[in-house]
Amino acid sequence: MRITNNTLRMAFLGALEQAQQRILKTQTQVSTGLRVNQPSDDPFAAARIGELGAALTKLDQYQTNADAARHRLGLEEEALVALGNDLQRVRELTVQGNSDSLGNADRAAIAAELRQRLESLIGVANASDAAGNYLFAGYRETTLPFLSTPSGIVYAGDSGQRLVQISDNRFVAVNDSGEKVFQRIPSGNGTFVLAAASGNTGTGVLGRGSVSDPAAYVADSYSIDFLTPTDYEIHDGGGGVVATGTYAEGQAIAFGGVNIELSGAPAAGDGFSVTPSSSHDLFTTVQNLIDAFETPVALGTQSAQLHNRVGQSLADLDQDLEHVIDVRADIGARLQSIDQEASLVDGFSSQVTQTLSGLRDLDYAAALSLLTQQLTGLDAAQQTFVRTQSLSLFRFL
Amino acid sequence: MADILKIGVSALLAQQRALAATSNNIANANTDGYSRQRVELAARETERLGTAFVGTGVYSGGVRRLGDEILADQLRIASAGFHRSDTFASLAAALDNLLADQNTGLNNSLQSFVNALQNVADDPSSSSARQVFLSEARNLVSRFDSIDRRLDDISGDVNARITGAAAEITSLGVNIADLNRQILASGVPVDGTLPPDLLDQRDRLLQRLAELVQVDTAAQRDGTISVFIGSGQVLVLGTESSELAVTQSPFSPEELEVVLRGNGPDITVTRFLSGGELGGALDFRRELLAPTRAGLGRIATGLATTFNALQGNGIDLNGAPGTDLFAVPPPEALAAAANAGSAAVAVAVADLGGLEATRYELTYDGASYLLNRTDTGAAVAMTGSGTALDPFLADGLSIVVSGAAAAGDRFLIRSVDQVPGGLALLLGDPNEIAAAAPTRARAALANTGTAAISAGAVIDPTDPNLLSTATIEFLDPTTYSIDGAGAFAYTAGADIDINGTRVQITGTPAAGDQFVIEANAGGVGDNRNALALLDGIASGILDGGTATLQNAVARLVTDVGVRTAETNNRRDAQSLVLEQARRELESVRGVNLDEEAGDMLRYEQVYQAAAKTIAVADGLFTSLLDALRR
Repeated sequence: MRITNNTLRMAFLGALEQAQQRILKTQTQVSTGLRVNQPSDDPFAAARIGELGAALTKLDQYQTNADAARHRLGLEEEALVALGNDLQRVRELTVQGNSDSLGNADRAAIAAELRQRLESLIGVANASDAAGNYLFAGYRETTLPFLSTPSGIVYAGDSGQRLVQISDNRFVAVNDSGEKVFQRIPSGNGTFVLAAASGNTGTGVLGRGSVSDPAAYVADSYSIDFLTPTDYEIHDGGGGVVATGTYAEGQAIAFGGVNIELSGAPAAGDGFSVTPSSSHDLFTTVQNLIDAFETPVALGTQSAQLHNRVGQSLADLDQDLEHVIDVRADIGARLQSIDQEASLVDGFSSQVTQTLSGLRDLDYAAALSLLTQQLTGLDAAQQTFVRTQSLSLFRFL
Repeated sequence: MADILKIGVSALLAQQRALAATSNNIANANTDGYSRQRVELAARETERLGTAFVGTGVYSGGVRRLGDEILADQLRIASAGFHRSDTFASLAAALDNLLADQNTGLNNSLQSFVNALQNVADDPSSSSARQVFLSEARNLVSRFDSIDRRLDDISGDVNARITGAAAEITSLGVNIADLNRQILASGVPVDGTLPPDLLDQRDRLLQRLAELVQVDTAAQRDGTISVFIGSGQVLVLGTESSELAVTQSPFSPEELEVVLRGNGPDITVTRFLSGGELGGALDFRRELLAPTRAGLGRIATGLATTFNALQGNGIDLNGAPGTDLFAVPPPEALAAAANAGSAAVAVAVADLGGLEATRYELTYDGASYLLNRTDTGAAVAMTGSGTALDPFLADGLSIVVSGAAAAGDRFLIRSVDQVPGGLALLLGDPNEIAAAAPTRARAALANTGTAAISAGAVIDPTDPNLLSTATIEFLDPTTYSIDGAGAFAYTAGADIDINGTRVQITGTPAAGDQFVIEANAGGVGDNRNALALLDGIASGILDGGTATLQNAVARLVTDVGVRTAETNNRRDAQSLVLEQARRELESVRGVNLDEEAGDMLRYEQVYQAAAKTIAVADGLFTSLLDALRR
């Protein structure tokens, strides 16, 4: 092939341009520290880098969500600790006040302290977070949840429970409604509630009662009616006689799978009711105790009535304490699952970071040695061009 | 001696002419498109002297231009190929980083938007979280808008290139026709020798023409050359040339079409042009720019439509039903300017999952409507009859035709192209973000059973009784009534739909247990709808439910990146082919100075020798005269 001067020049310029383009690319990589600077450098890696980058911010967001959930549940737990302490004190005072050795004045003093405790309980129930949102109002977090009215404490919140996303497929509840914490508590012993009829004239005092045979128990409103101080009949809700028996102090009344302890001496015509448990309100329980202790009683029938009232409230209080522990255990479990999920998210996040770095970041050692090589190549091309250009026959003419 | 003189003079003249050609070659060594010239030397006719033949000197046959039509043609083909790729690649480079940029890319804006919504879900009554979400939504809208503007800029650049190339092609055509005329005027060639400068000039013009668009040439016997572009449309025929003009598309003014304007009516050649800068710009517009815009539009439509629909399921902080967050421009159907009928076409998105990233052309053939994609030209099957009650359904679009079309009427359907630029934020008040659900469900406190009810999800926000209170009461553990009516069998966990709200009851209810579904009054801490929004945007919206928005963005980035990388590679390969073709042609016609130096020496030596023969002839003559003088 004939080589012309133009061919030589064009060949050199072409080579020069290519070498410079390669150097520019390597130089861009070195200066940005990135292997992929635009999608066409490595289209699939570029798309993956975009996705992974978005995934990272998403995972960060899950951590933010988890922090928010932790904070919120932490506040709730603090409130529940205070609630448990208050309830424990209420229980001590109740046990103390339920003794026959105390006079009416002593009980009035206990009632006064109970009143303070009730205020404290309401304060806990109306606790709010830093933004002023009430912890126990359900969805209605800007509405004061518990109001004292002449007819008692009224709940103005709802039963809403908010979920927060802590990973792609995990949601955790960050609140418990006031209804759930303070109102939806099983009453009595959890299965049934015992009560003495208000017109009782004897001194019969009810114990807790228990279910001896769950299979035989049929939920219904039963009444134990004493025909004589020793003979009783048990009626169901429809008035039918379920069982009859003879009362002896210290011996439980047993029927339909339940055992009911009764002490003291019931009179003929006295009645006791056994109704299925539903929910009770913690504040009402305390209010009942205050009312009971504030009412002066004489020994005998009145004192037995007091014991029956206080005894049932005590059963409710025990349910309340247990309920608070249950809710706290639930929160603990949620906090634990947040921690578990957060550490999973954390691990995933560092894995994504590593993958991202592998796709995107530059191997400096390789890039720098490549750059040196390319610069050497360029230098060599330039030198050879100068040498070939200096060769001309005309120089010898 | 007279012979010797004659021979000597002929040699002098011939070498002189050869030297002139050599010096002309040296002078034009750097002239672009110059073909080196050579003087053809031939021995003169011999004379017969008795029985011997005696030479009479040298004859210069003329100046020959060393060119090669085949190699020149190859160079033109290689050049058209390279410049097509080069133009495509340089246009694609502008698009390359547009969607994927680390800070401004669509992925990040989309994720920031989702994260801001997460913060609203974390604390729905927080006005700052809502404010941040609105501003992220605003950012996302402006991101779509700025990408759309950038696409407009690129489109403007493409249009300018098309217009410029068409104008230059026209003027090149005029010049080539003019050169044809001059070549004709220089006289019909007897021995094939045409004026070399005119030929060089014409080759240069053809070469430039090939950089703009792929051309075919046909040399005529009279020395003129005919030039064809596209699929055989005549640009230059003899001394006549046509105009390559740019007109607006019959559908929309911002689209340009290329037409060939000769004696007859305009011929639209947009589709047939290939190669060169013009072909590269047209290919880029069709193969990369339009699909990118449509792909972006599909993502914007998917996001905005999904969000709006879910927003309508909820209630805002004021308790009012959620309204649209985004204004989404509806699909457009543009009638061709030449349509003879009175038909109007209305298009709506019927199914997000069916949307394709393309435009369509709807044509009426006199009997029925036909739908074709504009990117591939493929026919798309339509179901339905096109009436409002039974619209045509195809690729996620519903198309309603009203009025009477004439045969040959055409409509351009842009399903999503207009969305990225036209997307707007409708909400200005952060309180109007519908984070809460309109209804809630609760169990009555007096319940004695262990059954629980779910929080409730809205399935039909348009139900007129949505906000009415409804009570589910269990007649016995396996049967319930609604608002005191009916007796329905209870299955734990089964959906119960009442007044547009869906709830599930689990556990064991007791007779008399009640569950209430009621309006979610004051539920400012409710985030159920925000969670539903998050779930909605993260789920598969496009491609029949298989692609999430993030997937679609990634695919768009990959598509553009792959095309750009591919064109870069092709350009590099074609630059080698071009280089090779140029080198081959150059090897025939280019000037090598060393060679010319050799020639110069050669002719100079012969010239000196010829002068010497004249001197010798003179010497001979003088010696003869001297001999006679004695």
